[in-house]
Order: sequence, then structure tokens, then C-alpha cells
Amino acid sequence: MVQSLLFLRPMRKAGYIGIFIFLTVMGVISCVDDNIQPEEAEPYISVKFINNRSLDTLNVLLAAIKADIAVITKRITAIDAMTDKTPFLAEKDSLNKVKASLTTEQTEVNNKINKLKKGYVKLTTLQSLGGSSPITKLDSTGTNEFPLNSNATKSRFFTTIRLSDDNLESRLDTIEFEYTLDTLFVENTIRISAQWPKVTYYSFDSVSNISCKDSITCTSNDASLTIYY
Amino acid sequence: MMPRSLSITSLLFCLLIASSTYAGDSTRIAVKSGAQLYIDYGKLLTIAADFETKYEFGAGYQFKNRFQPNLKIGIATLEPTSAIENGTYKSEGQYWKAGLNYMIPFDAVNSFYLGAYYGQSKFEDEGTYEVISDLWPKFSGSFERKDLEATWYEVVVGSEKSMLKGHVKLGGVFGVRIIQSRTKFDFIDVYAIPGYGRTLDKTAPFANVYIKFQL
Repeated sequence: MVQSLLFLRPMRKAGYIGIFIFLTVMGVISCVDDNIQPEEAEPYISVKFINNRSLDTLNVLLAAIKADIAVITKRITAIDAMTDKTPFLAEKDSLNKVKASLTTEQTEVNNKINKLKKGYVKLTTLQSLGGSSPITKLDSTGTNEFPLNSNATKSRFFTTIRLSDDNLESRLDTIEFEYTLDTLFVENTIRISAQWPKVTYYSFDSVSNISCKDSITCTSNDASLTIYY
Repeated sequence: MMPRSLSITSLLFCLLIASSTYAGDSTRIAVKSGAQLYIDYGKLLTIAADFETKYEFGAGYQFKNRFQPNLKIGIATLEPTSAIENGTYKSEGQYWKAGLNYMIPFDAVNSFYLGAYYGQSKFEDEGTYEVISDLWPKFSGSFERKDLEATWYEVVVGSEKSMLKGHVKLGGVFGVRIIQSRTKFDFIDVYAIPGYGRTLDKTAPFANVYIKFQL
């Protein structure tokens, strides 16, 4: 068999070069290691905030705007139905201007309501009982991630929410979670999993039930709840 | 991790390279017999590395009938940073390998060989890990496991070049290790075995370079 491979003799130098390249590539591959702190090693729970009072106020305002628009629309329709509209054209113009203004205001209020419903509230501070520095982390959907204590089955948080744009008015609240802990080794990373989180105390107006993507395991990183204040 | 198919391809690649350097009818080339001492100088280079330190030495005997039994022993300290992404890992221990090469001389200077080995490692491993939090005290832990064992087979192809009237031989070898048995753990399994390598798959390709002294 070896005899039959004699035609490969000219490759002698190429063979050694091939070995050198192969060894070099293998060496480089074996030495490439990154040491980045992995994400999601720490358990967290997703929390959304809904400002109920602002929502109620805006809903009342929206209802009033809609009622005004309805009255104006009715009057404009009535003017249009007249056989001799000439004496009322100035009134109709004026009504149309007011209606346009109200429609713009209605859109703005609707936008505010939608934003509030999404829970896009950036906490001024998020502090823990027995923890270290306050942090806030807000994702693009308006959800805050509350990191849970990996060393205990209970985490108590103190939150500060700014209520006015001038930063003069804010509210302080407390919420506490209980859960069971599990240490996992997944994809060469130690991960702490908090399971079956439940709210054991809160000072907000109300909180929703914790919603889990998987109702069998209910791990905290897939769980979320909504807080109303 | 290297798939098995790539390992086999590498072996065939080596076989082709070795065969390509064949320069004559090997049946007419005599093989000089004698005892041999073996040093893996490639592993000595790991002394400079901060993630592993390995030493491997051996002895063998070259028979005129081209068979060459070998016994190799080694010690290794492996600290792969990828073992635990948010921690450290160290595997340390000693191993031996025994096997047989069959030499196929190309000419009076160069030889190609095929071989098979059986290896055993006794080692211990340890590790630490931590989960850092911006809000809470960090979570940390550690483990230490002793009296671990692994056994494996090796299939090798290599080539040697004789110098100084055949008393010194420079060589290189490619091969695949196939695990036979090893200690396993459900939580943080053994990641690296001295003498075998990483336990990512049931097979592990390898390449070594060495120098031999023949008496």
C-alpha cells in the first residue's frame, strides 16, 4: 500500500509545512479562552410598574375630551344638515379648530396612557435589605429586573419612584419575595436558580399574581409581576 | 471540542503526509535495535504557560523486527479557564501509558510508525466559583475531589528522524485518545484529565513532539 503512494513523494516538504501549520492552528485553538462574567448567573424577577392614580386621572381626562369632541361633532353635523348654512359658517370653522385641538390632545393623552400601561417606570433607586449599592436596570419593554439574593431564600427591596418631573415628589415602597434556591452548572457556568417566587410583603397599592412561563418549574428568571401604585 | 470525524480526518491527513515522504522499499532497510529514552519536549514548553504544566518521559526498546514497546509516565497540572466560566478549576495528577509502535522506515534516516497504547491516570481536581451581584453579597462555593481515575486507549501515527548515527531521534506523533472509563460527577463533572486532556467528548485528538535517545 505504501508503495502505491510513491507518487506523493514530491509532497515531502509540503508535508512538514502541513504538520507545522496543523500544530500551530491546534495550539492557537487550545489557547483561546475568554473569561467573561456570564450573564444570568444571578437569579432575578421581572417587575413592571403601573401608576394607577395617573392612569385614573388620564382616563377621566380622556373621557372628558371624547365627550367634548362628540358634542362638537354633533353640532357640526347639525350645521351641515341645514339648508341655509351661511350664518353658521363662522361657527363651524371655529368648531373645527377646537375639534382639531381636542383631537391632538386626545392623541397625547392616549400616548401617555399606553406608556403607563406598558409600565415604563425607571426606578430612582432600588435598594436591598442587607445588600450593597442601589441600582436600577430597566429593559426596553419597561420591565425592571430585580436581582434576588443568592445567599438567602428571601429578598426585601426598597424602591424609590419619582412622581414629578421636577424631582421634588417621589414615593418610597417595600416589597419582599420568598423563593427556593437551586445551584446549577449549565454551559460551564454556575447559575443560581430561584424557583417558585412569591410576594410575601408589599407597600404598594396592589400587586398582580406572579406569572411564570413554565408553570411546572416556575423559575424566577422566567417569572414576572406587575405592581400598581 | 473537536468532532470524531475531524479527528479521523486528521489521522488520515497525517498518514498521507507520512506516506508522501516515503522514499524507498522499506523491506530492505534494517532497523537498529536498542533501548530508548523518550522526552516530550513539547510538554516542557507548557512550563511557561499559566494554564497548564506538563511533563512526560518514557522508555522503550526498538527491536530489529520493527516492533517498539514503550512505557511513558507523566505528571500534569491543568487549569483550563473555560472549565468554569465564573470560577477556577484545577486538575492535577500522574499517568502512565504503555503500548507498541510498529516502525516503517522510509530510508536510513526517516521512519514512519503506527501504534496503539493503553493509558491510566490517577488525579484529583478542585474548583471555586462565584456569582457576583450588584445588589447582594456575592455567592461563592468550592469543591475538592480526590482519588479520581481514568483509563483510555490511544491510536497513533508518527514519524521520526534519526541523527548522530541513530543515537538521537526527533519525532512527532498525532493520535486520538478514546476514553474507556473515568470518574464522573453530576454536579461539575471532571473537565480535564492529566494525560488524557479535556473530557468534552469520548475521543480527544492530540499531537506531541519528542526527542529520543537510543543506546
